[in-house]
Amino acid sequence: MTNLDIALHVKRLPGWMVLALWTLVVALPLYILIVSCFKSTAEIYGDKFGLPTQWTLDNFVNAWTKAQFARYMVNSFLVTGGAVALTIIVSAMAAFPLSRYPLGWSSPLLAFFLAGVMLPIRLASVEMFTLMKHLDLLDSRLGLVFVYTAIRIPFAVFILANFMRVLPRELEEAARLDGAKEWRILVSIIVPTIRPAIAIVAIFTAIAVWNDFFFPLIFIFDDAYKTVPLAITTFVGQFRTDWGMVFASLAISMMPVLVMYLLLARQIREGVGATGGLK
Amino acid sequence: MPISKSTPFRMTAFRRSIVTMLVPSLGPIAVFVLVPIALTIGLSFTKWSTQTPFATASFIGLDNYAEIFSASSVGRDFKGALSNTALYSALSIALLLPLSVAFGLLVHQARLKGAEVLRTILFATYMVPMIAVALVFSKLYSPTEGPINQMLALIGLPRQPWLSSPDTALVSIVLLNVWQQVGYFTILVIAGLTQIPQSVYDAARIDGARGLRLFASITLPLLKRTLLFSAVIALINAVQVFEPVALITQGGPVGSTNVLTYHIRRVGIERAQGGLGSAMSVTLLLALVITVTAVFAFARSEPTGRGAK
Repeated sequence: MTNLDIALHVKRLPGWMVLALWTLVVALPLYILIVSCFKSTAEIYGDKFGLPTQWTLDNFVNAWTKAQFARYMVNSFLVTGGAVALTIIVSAMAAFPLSRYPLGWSSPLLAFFLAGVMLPIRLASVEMFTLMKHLDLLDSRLGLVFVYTAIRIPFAVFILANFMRVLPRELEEAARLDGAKEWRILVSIIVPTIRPAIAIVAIFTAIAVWNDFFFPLIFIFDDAYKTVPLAITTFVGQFRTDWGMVFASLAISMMPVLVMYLLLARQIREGVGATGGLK
Repeated sequence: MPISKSTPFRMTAFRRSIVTMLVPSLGPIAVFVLVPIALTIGLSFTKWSTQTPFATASFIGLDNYAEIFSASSVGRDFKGALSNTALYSALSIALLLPLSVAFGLLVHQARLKGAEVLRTILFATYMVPMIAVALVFSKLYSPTEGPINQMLALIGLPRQPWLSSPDTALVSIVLLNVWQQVGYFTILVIAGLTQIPQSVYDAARIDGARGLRLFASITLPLLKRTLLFSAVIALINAVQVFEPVALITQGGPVGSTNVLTYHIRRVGIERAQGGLGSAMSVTLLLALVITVTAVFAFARSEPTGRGAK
């Protein structure tokens, strides 16, 4: 190692210290979240921050059995799965003509999608509530799927269109000469080559939808259709809050997103690196 | 271009396929985003109870606007919520952007095996549901036994009341939001950084530029578009903040964290005063449009991107 190399390493030290510090800042709340899952509620009240004196899995069992957690998980899976699938399908369909054809009217279209991402839709929550009532979509998982899809489409279209724009033209021209229809080209040529972009859209949409409790709070009243985040807030409101169970349910609720992130990590990395597709 | 060579018949089939490809995405945006916003604007000029259908609304001109800007208690609450939202947004952006650039640069330059771990750590907070963040932070902020105050005491700083005082509650909410969101914005910055070709840096190094100079004259200007995008997204997120307020403070203490999304829900849904709530939404919407337009105009007026922020 030359002197220059060492100098370079020393220079980088402050940077590493900043990152180490931030790691601590990230880790502390996560640590509390995790240890609280294994403590009894009495212990959470008594000693909030130490390790549990007696590790227990009761909280997880309670969350799963007493609180009908499985039902809320099913609701969350249906809503999130539906919204992610629908968002990806309709956004890929829109991104294809927007990015691959010289559309003369593409800039008003772009404005339309921009409006979708720029308008703070939560400010219209009162009207959305009444609109959903008119459409008979209150207390409906399908209603949530539609709302989330509408909100997530612009972001998805921008990312998918960005990735499609840089694909070489030859890719589809050969197929087009063979007489393939536009749909075939989209499904069997374009979509398979932009898998990293689809992974990015999938994970960001899934996180946003899975963790949201604003729209369920406004649209869902029947316990049978509550999603996990909304259900957990009702655990907190109850007469005597069972904190151990609350934290255990939060931990369970984070698992699916975590697993999805780990499964897609490689694709996401490629995607973020490849074309700066997040712009 | 193969398209222009198509026969007229194929052109129409082609057009039809474009329309069928676009309608499924434009439709939901129109119905579930644009229609509610349009309704909000329209109903802000009416007296309308949220418990009744849209048709029962009666036109009252600008009365709702007069009321929310009056000296009455409705006006006072609204102006308080508006300034809370403005302060919350300004603080969030002021913290999120510099932090995300710093973390983005550090992770991007790391170019080691460690970079992947760092990226995952940064992104981890973004995956944590807001309920978990809110619950854990309300314990961390505990004035007497919370670890944050214990650490402050350890390094000789005074203990803070955090969520329990009207002076510090809003800042406390900003901080937990920054904790959660900074990873997302860091990912945006990293994506922007990967688009800056290494050759630009190499050229500048040959010219003798180093360190801060390199950052100020190359990185920042070339990151301008990303930062502009980040700022707008952060602003739009910030004006819609709801979860931590609903979960921890319910707008208190003494209305110091009563932000507009929370306030509008209370007025429009709980008190069923739809017209009044809509006028509040439209006011914030206008403020937002003006701010975003100003930011873009400012960014365009500085072609060198010196002021990129």
